[in-house]
Amino acid sequence: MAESPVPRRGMTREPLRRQLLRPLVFFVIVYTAGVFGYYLIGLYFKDQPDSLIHCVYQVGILLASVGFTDILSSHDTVAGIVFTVIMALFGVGFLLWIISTVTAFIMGGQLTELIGRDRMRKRIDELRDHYVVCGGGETGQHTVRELVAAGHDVVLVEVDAERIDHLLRDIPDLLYLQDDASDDDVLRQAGIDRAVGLVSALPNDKDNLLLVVTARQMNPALRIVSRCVETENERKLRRIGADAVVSPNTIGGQRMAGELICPTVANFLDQMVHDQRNIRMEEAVIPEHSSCAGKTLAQIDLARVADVNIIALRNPGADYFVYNPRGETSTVAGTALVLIGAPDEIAKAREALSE
Amino acid sequence: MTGHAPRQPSQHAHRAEEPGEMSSATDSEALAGLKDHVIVCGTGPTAQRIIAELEAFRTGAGMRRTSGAIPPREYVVVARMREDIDRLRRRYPHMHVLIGDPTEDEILAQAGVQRAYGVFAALADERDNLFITFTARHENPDVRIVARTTDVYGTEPKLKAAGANAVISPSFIGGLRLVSETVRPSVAAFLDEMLRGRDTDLGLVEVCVQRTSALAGRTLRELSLPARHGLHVVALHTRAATEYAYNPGPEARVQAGDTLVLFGARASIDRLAAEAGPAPQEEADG
Repeated sequence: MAESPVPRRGMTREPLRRQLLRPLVFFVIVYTAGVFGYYLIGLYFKDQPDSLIHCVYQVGILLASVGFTDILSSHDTVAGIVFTVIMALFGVGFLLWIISTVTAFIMGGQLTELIGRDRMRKRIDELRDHYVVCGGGETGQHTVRELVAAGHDVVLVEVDAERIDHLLRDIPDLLYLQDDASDDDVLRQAGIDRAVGLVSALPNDKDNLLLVVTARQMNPALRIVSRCVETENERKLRRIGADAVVSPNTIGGQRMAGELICPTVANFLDQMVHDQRNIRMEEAVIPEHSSCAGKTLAQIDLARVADVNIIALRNPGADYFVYNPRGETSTVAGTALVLIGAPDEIAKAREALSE
Repeated sequence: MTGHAPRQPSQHAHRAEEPGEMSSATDSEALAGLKDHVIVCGTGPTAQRIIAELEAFRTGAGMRRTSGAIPPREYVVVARMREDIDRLRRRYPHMHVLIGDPTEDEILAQAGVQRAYGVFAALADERDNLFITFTARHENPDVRIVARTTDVYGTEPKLKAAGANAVISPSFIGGLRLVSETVRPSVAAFLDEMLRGRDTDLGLVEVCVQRTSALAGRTLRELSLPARHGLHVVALHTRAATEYAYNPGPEARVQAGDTLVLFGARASIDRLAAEAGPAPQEEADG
């Protein structure tokens, strides 16, 4: 998938410079040859050669196809006429070449794309608290869509132009870098030091491993979640710095089994997680300086401000949940409440918790 | 019950307890004797997880999310190559194995698709899964088919049209899970615990209300599940509605055929399940 050589948008700068360089080198060679040609013709067919500056002028008006008056003394000799014709033809050819290259460059969208890329770089540079998604394959595509649907800022890093185009059809203002995600510079460009989270969804576990290590070194506070293909690599990915590891095939199997063993709960959880308009399960964390920190649930009384149900809570550092927490359950700053409710009710609850 | 399935030289069916040692007659008999069983097509990572879940469900160790509604089931794994199944067989000695191509009608028939309760089409290639779905639906109109797909947009309608009851795209739910793990880690961990339910006595379970049940026809207020059983009603799935009613109010009335999604201690759920009435499968069997 990612291994196959693909046309890269990021590479277009190099060929362009080379494209313009070729006619330029040609121009210099022809110009120099022309100047010396006229000089030598003057030397052999007239007793005195024309001055070099006159020769430069003559070649200049010929190559530019201006067709101004000849000023050289050799213009009436046979050699002079033949040479002038040859130079004139070169001039037309050169002009056509330059015009076609520049036209192709503009028409090919390369110029607009360069401008677009710079604009995108600037927009990425302004991002804060965004999410970086590396890899735009099947899993990565769904990841980007879901993050965007949930209203988050996303930067996609993907080498394959086709995959980026596929996403751009649905998300036209998607921010992306068409480059290799395991490159430090690329991650820096994606704003990894200002991001809150990174999803490593590359098709190959080795690539994911490398990316997780790199990302962890560059931003120790970042939440890193990695995809894994082979189940046995899950532990390695965790040990190397991933906060969570997801194996799509494994949870796919789990869901398939659920569909047969217990279809209602399976469907229910499915809707719960990505239902955009109705009620969904969300979390609300009590912030550092909230007045709620340290109070019991009865004192906070979320039900008074928002129509949500607290189904579980987890205190910072604890690896277990308190289910169906009672009113006398106390909280601290950083306590995560698992809520069920409509999105706007959850927003209200979050607001109340941060007061 | 023990009619012999026609046996072909390249296909061996046997109980994995003694690999390669069972006589062919016993193998075919074992498969021919299966009824209301589950057929798993495939041996990849997705199928492996399905087998693990089925095994846990069978032994009652893991995902017991439907209290009493569906009895533990035997399952047969259809593998193309004997090598694919060797490692799995060592881990799950109970499972039945059939070597052969599951896209062939003959193999599915041998796996007992006509008498099966469910079929998992979990091969890597979704065209194969489409084929299996189509064949299985043709052979058995009542079987529950769950198919794997790689691209939820392209193939899901085709698989549904071919007869799949549910279509799962690992990359789609994988993507969703990656987002949940990144954006709302507590919810992800919570749901994970709910689904696995290993370390805890609590869980998210569905209870189907039967016709004969004492629960049918009463409102949630009358049932007072939180007070009587310590159970939280997370959702109510009524027969008429396709969507779930989340956090149903006290006036919501439970009808026969409705499904309650409950959250609470498993012991309480078992007690309630007894009130909800026996599962239709058991009625049919008895």
